[in-house]
Amino acid sequence: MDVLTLNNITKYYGRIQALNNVSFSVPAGSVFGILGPNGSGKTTMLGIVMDILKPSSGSFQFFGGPATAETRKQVGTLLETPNFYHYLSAERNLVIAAEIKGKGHGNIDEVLRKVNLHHRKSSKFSTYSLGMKQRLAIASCLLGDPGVLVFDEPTNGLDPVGIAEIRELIKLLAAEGKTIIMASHMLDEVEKVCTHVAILKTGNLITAGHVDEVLVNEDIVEVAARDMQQLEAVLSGMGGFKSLKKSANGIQLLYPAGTANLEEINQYSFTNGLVLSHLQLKKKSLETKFLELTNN
Amino acid sequence: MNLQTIKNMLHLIKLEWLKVKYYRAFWIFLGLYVIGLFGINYVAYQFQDTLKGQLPIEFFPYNFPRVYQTIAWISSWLLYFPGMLMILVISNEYTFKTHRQNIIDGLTRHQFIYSKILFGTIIAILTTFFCFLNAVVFGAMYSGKFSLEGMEFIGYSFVQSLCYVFFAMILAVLMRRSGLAMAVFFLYGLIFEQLIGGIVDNKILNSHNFFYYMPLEASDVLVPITFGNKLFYKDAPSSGILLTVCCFYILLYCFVSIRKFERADL
Repeated sequence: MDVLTLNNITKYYGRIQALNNVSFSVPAGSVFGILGPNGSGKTTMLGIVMDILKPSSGSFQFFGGPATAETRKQVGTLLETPNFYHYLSAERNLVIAAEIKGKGHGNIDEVLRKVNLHHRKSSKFSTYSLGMKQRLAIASCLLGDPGVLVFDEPTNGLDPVGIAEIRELIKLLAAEGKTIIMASHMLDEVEKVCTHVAILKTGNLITAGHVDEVLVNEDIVEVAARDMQQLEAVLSGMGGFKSLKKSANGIQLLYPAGTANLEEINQYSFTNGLVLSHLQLKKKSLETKFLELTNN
Repeated sequence: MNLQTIKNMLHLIKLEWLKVKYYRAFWIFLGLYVIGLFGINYVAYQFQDTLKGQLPIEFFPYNFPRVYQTIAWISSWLLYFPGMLMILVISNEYTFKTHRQNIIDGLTRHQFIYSKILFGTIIAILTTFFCFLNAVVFGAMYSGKFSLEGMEFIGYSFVQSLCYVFFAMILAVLMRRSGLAMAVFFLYGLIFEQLIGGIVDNKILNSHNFFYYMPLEASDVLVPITFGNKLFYKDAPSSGILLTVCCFYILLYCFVSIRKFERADL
């Protein structure tokens, strides 16, 4: 079953188009990453499914049915920034959230412990650091133990330790069987925790699917010799690689991940009368892949 | 009203209560308002008491039954304060983006704006109650007795409070920022309403009728000045008409606020 389905969502802010016909589904139990550079429409999209923003056209469903306030109570959401009453303590802010969700105040202490804020629960929200505010927002999402969590840039403003902690927490929640929808502009974050990914660029959905399919890794072998023209001719006859590209350092051969064999390439070149001056295996970085996906 | 509606209403009132319960600025503001209300009435009372019998007319009659009108009229000068409280509470939600978070957490947009309408109604009830309390205390001090005659002015005072509070609400909903909303609230109430009313009446209509039907003025005429009423408000419409006009405005403010909040991007 799908937790969330978007059908042709389009959103205009005046004449600016923020989303263009975006459709995809989030399967239950997945950790679904929404990846895109700043301004690609991630927050707009999540705002629409949370009824904060009205779509210009298109529709969406939660749990296969219409989205209502009741379905929102089943989803823990952190959207864009931590939104709390500045003059109230962390605990009193969570009391309000729990009251709205109709979940009782039973697990407020528990969620505060989960994000390491229990010792500061009586401090006013306005005295919190950015990272603490972010963690309080995550605690608020966990109130009432919802089956679905929506995190918009969950590690925003956190220090490296905090980032690692939140990633562990997300993995833990995923292991509990929760569906997690996470928007991020940080590729390694998505790569490290997500099972599925949708990539957005200036409001357009570029691709969506299983993370292994979308963010395929490739082996790149960089080769150079004194006579580059001859090298290219020889390598073209070799086969076995997916594609051949010229680069500043020589020639790049692209292989499916884990299939490049440097010895074979060296042997083949030598047999064909060429001595290589440069031979190097490079893992294609996801960063490059991401830029490739979003920059054409 | 069935049981579910009442439960929903109580749920929303509880939410508003949780939001202001530990909001010190709110309580200080409310406290100052209550003290101010007593203070302004006390000043007028002293003025009247000192000049008792020396003047041909009573400026501020503090004897029953006229005390109700006196207190209602004097108190109405401070109605900007409940209005400011309303602006404060609503613009806070926009500033902290908690209006978004409340919806995200599971309120409907309708419930959110409805909770503010309930809040405004409670503020108006409190304002009216303080007004009544002052009337009883000063009336008893002045004349040494108590009577409910003339109580209709407490009712008018309630309608007037609703007019001010919900006018403030619509400004806050439309402008979102407290500074701007308060500036417009004061400037409109103290200057621009008189200016626009004066221009329309004197330059365009050549009458003195349009002014009486303007948003805040309609409720001000409902609780008229205690001396020189005939001079200030000659040809004023009857209380019945004014009440109808005020109720129309109150419903309009609520309707527009609900519509705006339900349809706009938050």
